[in-house]
This record gives sequence, C-alpha cells and structure tokens, in this order.
Amino acid sequence: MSRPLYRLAYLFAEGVRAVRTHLALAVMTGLTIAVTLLLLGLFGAVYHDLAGVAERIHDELGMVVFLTDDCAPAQRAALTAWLHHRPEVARMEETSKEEAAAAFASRHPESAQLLALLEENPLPASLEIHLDPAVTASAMTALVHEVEGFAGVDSVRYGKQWLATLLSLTRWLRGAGAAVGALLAVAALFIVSNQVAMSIYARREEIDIMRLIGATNRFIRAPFYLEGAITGLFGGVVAALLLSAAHALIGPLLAAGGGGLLVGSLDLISWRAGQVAVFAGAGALLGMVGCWASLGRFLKG
Amino acid sequence: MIRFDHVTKDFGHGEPVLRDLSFHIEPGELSFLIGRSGAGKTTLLRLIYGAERPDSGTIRVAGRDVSRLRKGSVPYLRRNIGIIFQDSKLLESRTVEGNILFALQVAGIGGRIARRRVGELLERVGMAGREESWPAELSGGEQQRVAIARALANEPALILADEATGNLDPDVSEEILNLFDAINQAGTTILFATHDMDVVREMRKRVLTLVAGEVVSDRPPELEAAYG
Repeated sequence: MSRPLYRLAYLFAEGVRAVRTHLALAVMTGLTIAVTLLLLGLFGAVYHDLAGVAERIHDELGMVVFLTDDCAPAQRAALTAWLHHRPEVARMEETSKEEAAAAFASRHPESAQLLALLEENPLPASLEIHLDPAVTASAMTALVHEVEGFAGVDSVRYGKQWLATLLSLTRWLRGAGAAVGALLAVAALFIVSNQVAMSIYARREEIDIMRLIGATNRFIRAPFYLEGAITGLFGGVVAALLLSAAHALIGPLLAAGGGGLLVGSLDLISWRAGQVAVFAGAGALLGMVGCWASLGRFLKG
Repeated sequence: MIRFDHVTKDFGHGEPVLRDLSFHIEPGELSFLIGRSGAGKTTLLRLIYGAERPDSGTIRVAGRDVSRLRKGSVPYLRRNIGIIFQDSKLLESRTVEGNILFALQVAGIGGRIARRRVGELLERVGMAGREESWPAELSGGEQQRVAIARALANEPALILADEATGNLDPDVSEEILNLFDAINQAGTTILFATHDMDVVREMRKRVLTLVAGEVVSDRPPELEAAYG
C-alpha cells in the first residue's frame, strides 16, 4: 500500500476506532448536535413559513388599475407595455368590461339580474397588478402616481396603509429572523465546541502520550476531525428523524387545533432523502468545526 | 550523543531549576542521573526531548541543536528518542500491540511490516505472545516492558528513562534494569534518571549527581564501582 493510501486507511480506522472506544462520549456529542440542529431546523421552517405568509398576503394586496370606458386600445396597450417593463410588477392580469360583468354575476348570482336590467355595463375594465415581493411602500406609491397620470386611467385602488404596515412587518420579520438565526447558529457552534472540548479533555492524557511518541499535531488532529464528522453525521440523521416525527405527530394536531400561520411550517419538513443529506452534512460540518475550535487549546506548546 | 553547554532553565519561581549546566554523554553510554525530588532531573530530560527550551546555553542531541528547534520539528526529534516514564504511559484504549503499532504508525510504518516488528519487539522485552492483552491486564513490570518495547519501536539512538523503576518491586526492578543493560549493550545510549541509589549501585555505571540544578559530581563507572 502506498504511503498516502496507508495514511488514509489509518485515518479512517483511527476515526472509527475512536468512536467505538469512546462510544458514550460520541453519542453524547452526537445528540447535542442533533438537538442543536433540531432547534435550527424548527426555527428555519417557522421562519421560512412566516416570511412566506407575509409574501403571500403582500402578493394578494397588489393594486388594481380601473380604466375609463373611453380608454382607447392604443392607450391601454401603451399602459400595459409600460407596466410590463416596470421592475416592481411581477405579473399582471387584464380584465375587460365583459369579463368583469361575468365575474360579478358568478360571484353574486342574486344580483346578476340587476346588472342585466341596466342598459350599459357599469363595470370598468381593469388591470390587476401583482407586485414583486421586494418592492417598498414608497416605490409602490410612486408607481401608483405614475399610473394615475396615464390617459385612460380612471383610478387606482391599493391598500396604501395596509401595504406600508405589511412591508415594514416583512422587513422586520426578515431582519429579526436573520438575527435570531445567526444567534442560534453561534450558540449551536458554542454548545457543540464545548461538548467536543469535554470529549477531548477526557482524552488529554492520550493526546499527551501521542505527542511524546512523536506524533505531529496534524497526525493527532486528523482522526479527531473524522470522529467529529462521524458523530455529527449521526446527530444530523437523528435531527432529521426527529423533525420528521414532529411533522408526522404535531402537524395534524396543529391543523386540527387551528395552529394558524404555523400550520404550513411543518409542511417543509419530512423524511426526505435530500433533507436527511442536508442535515447529515450540516451535522458533520458542525462536528468538524467544533473539533477545530476545541483542539487548538489542547495542542498548544 | 548529548551535550549541554552552560544551560540555564528558570521557570521564574525563585531559584533557577538548572543553572549553567555543562556535561556530555558519549554515544553508547548508559549513564545515571541522580538527585532528590526537585533537583531538576525531569526538567533536564524534558529539555533533551524538546518539551522545554533553555533560557540560555545550548543543548545538542546527536549533533543537532535542540535548544533552538522549531516547534514543528519537535515530533521528528522525539521519533529518534525513546522516552520511558515511571507510570509507563500506555494508551489504555489500545492493546499491547496497538500501543507499539501506534509508535510505528506515527513514523509512517504500517501493515505487515509493522506487525512483524511488534512481534520482534515483544520478544526482545520478554513479552512474546501478549499482543492482544490490554494494559489494565498487565502487572507494573509487564507494563514497563511494553513501554520499553514501544520506546524501541523506531530504533532510537537514545533512550531517556525518568524513574522507570520507581513503581516496581526490587525483583522486577532488577529485571527491567537488566533489560536496559541489554539494550545498551546493543549500542543504544541510555540516560536513566532516578533517586533510587540501590539501582545505581547495582549497575555500576557513570553517575551524574544533580543538586539544586547543578551537576555536583560526575563519576565514571570505575569510580562508581569503587564507591559501591
């Protein structure tokens, strides 16, 4: 066997041997990583869903441009072409006078006859505009003013007050979510590195002996990293399993009990191969970074 | 093999542990370093294997200046020095074979060559066939034999023993000393630190006496025999 291959085989064998020898410590570290990832996963799911809810409400608000009855086709075409090129506009639905009447009749069948009694269809043609989620309240107001200036536009309806509140709420939610997420990630790293430090501390004599025999720091570190990766991998899979169990057990309870906005949160998490891989990878990374953060202090001097 | 020139080591807690120390040990010698607890024996050995640096003076081991060695080079120095302690310092989580294999793996020797070498080493220290035993299953003398086998794994030119018979019964201690003598006869230089005068009298070798960080006497084997 060539020397690099031998080193690799040695590293793998040592990593596995260390996990087997210090199984209780490895399981403790793995479970710490699992709980940490579980918290991060639950937070991520809830955050993602709340942000999604805000975006959905925002999307539903949008704005409606009512056209005058004498709006010429050319004027209408100019307006729609201009709107299509606006970055604030995500998509647009056009409704003709006839379509508006049909929609009214289907929504209010009891009043449909009243509409038929009128000589002329009083409902205006309109453009329903769905906004890009990134648009600010001030950009929205500016857009409304510009649209109102177009020939053939009768009026523009939009939830001005609502929109401003919602946009600021969405921004706040994103900012707060990112801050809490970052704090959680730092706390996770701190907890895991301390757990790994305890595991390494229990083996400091072993490390001392390795150094006396002439092992380089790299030679000592490598199996620890692999051990960290293996325990982290285990923790990641356990976290994915627990999240999946949460999905199966709590999801229906939330739905039945009127869990409100949180109902959708757990839809994100379930026992899927991709998700397990992401959690296992995150766990392995966390285990290795924890090792890196803890090993330094034991290998000084 | 070992040369100290005006070496001083001060930890800053009162008097220096070693002061202006000069001596040299020829290749192939077996020498004893004696002195009471706190005389500086362990510090002197730690300076040789690069665990400490002197405040002044130079230390040469096999012609190499170890007093100015970079930290990254210390592991390579230690692979050429076998170190044996009072408490054997075996890895409890590895078998006898695993302990000796580890020293070989550190030097990049593995596979069948390493296993064959483990067998030879165990035979040399009188522990043949004990490959699968765990350190906890061995007596103090047996543990020390395994520690000696591990120290010999990479065929070092120098062996440092720090109170290596300190925990052993007189009979076992004698066996271990005979083992050291045989290793020395094969050409390995040995510096044996101890505070046990019985050990020194029995072996009739060169004796360096350390008192308060200074070598106060350096008696050759002939003279030591006369003192015996």
